[in-house]
Amino acid sequence: MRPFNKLFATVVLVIAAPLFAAPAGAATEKVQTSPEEAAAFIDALSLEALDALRADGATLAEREAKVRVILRKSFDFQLIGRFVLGKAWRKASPEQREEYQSLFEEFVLLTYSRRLSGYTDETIKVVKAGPMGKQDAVVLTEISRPTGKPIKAGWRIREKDGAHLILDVIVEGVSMLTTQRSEFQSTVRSKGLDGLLELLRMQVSKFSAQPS
Amino acid sequence: MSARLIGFKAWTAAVVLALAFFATPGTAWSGSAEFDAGWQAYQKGDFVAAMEIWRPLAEQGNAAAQFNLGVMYDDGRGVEFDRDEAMEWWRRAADQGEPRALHNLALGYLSGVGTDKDPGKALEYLKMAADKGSVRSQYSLGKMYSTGISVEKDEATAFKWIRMAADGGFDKAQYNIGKMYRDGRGVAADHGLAAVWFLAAAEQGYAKAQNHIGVRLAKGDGIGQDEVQALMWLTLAEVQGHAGAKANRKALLDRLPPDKISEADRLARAWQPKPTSK
Repeated sequence: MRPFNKLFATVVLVIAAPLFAAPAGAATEKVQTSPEEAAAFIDALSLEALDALRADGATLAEREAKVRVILRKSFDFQLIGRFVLGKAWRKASPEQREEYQSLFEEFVLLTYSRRLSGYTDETIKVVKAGPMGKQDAVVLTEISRPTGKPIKAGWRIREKDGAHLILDVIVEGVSMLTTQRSEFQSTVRSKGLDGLLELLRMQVSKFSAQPS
Repeated sequence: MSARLIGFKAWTAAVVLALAFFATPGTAWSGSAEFDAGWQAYQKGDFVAAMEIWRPLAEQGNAAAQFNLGVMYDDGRGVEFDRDEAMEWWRRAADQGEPRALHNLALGYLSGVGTDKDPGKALEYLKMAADKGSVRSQYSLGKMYSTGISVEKDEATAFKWIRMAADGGFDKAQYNIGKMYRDGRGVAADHGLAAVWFLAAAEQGYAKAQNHIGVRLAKGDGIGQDEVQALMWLTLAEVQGHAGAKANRKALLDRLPPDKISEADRLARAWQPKPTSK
C-alpha cells in the first residue's frame, strides 16, 4: 500500500495549486468529476489503446497512427497547452497562439504515440480513484510489462460537456504537465515564444526510422 | 519443352553470373535483404532484433542503417535512450550525405540535446539537407528566416525556401505560402494565389488549411463563392478537431438551406485526401 500512498501524496501535492483556473469570462459551471466514472473512462481507454497496439499485421506506423487518434480525443490539449505555456500565453498574438496550439498538440501526440507504440505486452490495472480539487478526479493505475517493475501512473481527469478528458499524467510521481511547463518556460525566457515555436517545429519534423 | 528448359537454364546462368559480378560482399545489394529483415522486425515492434540486424550494417558504413540506429537511440527503442549516441550515428550517416540524418542533426544542434547548442551548425546542416531536396528541411529553413530567431530575418529568403517545399508537395509549406500571399510577406499580396495554396494543403488533409479555404469559399475571397464546398471543408477540419472550424461551420450551418447542408455532408463523407509528401 505504501508506494501508492506516496504516489497519491505526490499527486495531490502537484495538483494542489489551482492549475486550471477557468479563463476569465468563461461561464462554465464547475461540476465535480465522479471518480468512479473517471476510473471507468480510463479502463475503457486502456482497453481501446491495447487493442490498437496489438492489432495483428499492422505496421508500426499504422499502430502509431491509431494511438494518435485515441490520444487526440482523450486529452484536453487546449487547456494543457495554455497551462504549459504560462504567462507567455497572455502576451502571445492570435497567430502565435494558433501556431503554438497546433505544434504543441502535434508534439505531444508524436512523443507519446512513439513511446507507446513499441509496447504490445502491457496491461493496465486501475488501482483506485478519488476526487481532486473542485472539479477533477485522479485515477491511479499500475502498468505491468513483461520485464521490469510495474509502473505507477496517475491520470487527472475532468468531465466537460458530458465527455471525459485527460489533463495530466503523473508517472512515478512526476507530472507531465509541470515537467513540460518548466522546460517550455525556460526556453521562452532565453529565446522568446518564437524560439520555442522554432524548437517545437523542428521537433515535430524530426524524421523517424526509414524503410530504405 | 526442351527449348524452354534450355532457355530457363540460360536465364539462371545469366542471373548467377550477374550476381557474381555485382553482389560482392559488402555491396548495397547484399546489405539490402538484411536491411529489409531489420525493417520487418522494427515494424513488428521487435526493436532488439532490428538493432541486432542494423548495427553490423551501420558499422560497415550503410547510411540508412546508421540513420535508423540514431533514431532508435533517440527514441530509446531496443536500447536505452542515449542522445549522444543518436547524434553520433546521425553524424556518420550525414558524412555520407544522408539528408534525413542532416535534418535530425540540425535539430540536435538547435536544441542542444545530445550535443552543445550551435545554431550556426544547425543552419549549415539544414541547408545541406534542403539542397538535397528534403522538403521538411526546406520548410524548416524557410520558417527560420521568417521568424529570425537563429538567423537574420529575411522574408524574401523565407518565401524562396517555403515555396520550394510547397512545390515539392509539403502540406505545411503550402499552407504557409498561402498565408504569405495573403499577408504580402516576402512576396506581393495576392488573395487568389493564397486560396490556390490553401486549397492544395487542404486537399492533402491539413486541417488548418481546410478551415482557411472553407472561410474563403464562404466569403468568395480570392476564389469563387461556393457555400457547399465551404461547408464540406469546414466539416472535414472540424472532424479533425480544429476548434476554429467548429465555430465557422456552425455560423455557416445557421444560414444554409437543408439541401445545401446535406450535399456538403455527402461530399465530406466521400472525400479522400490526396497523397501527401512528408
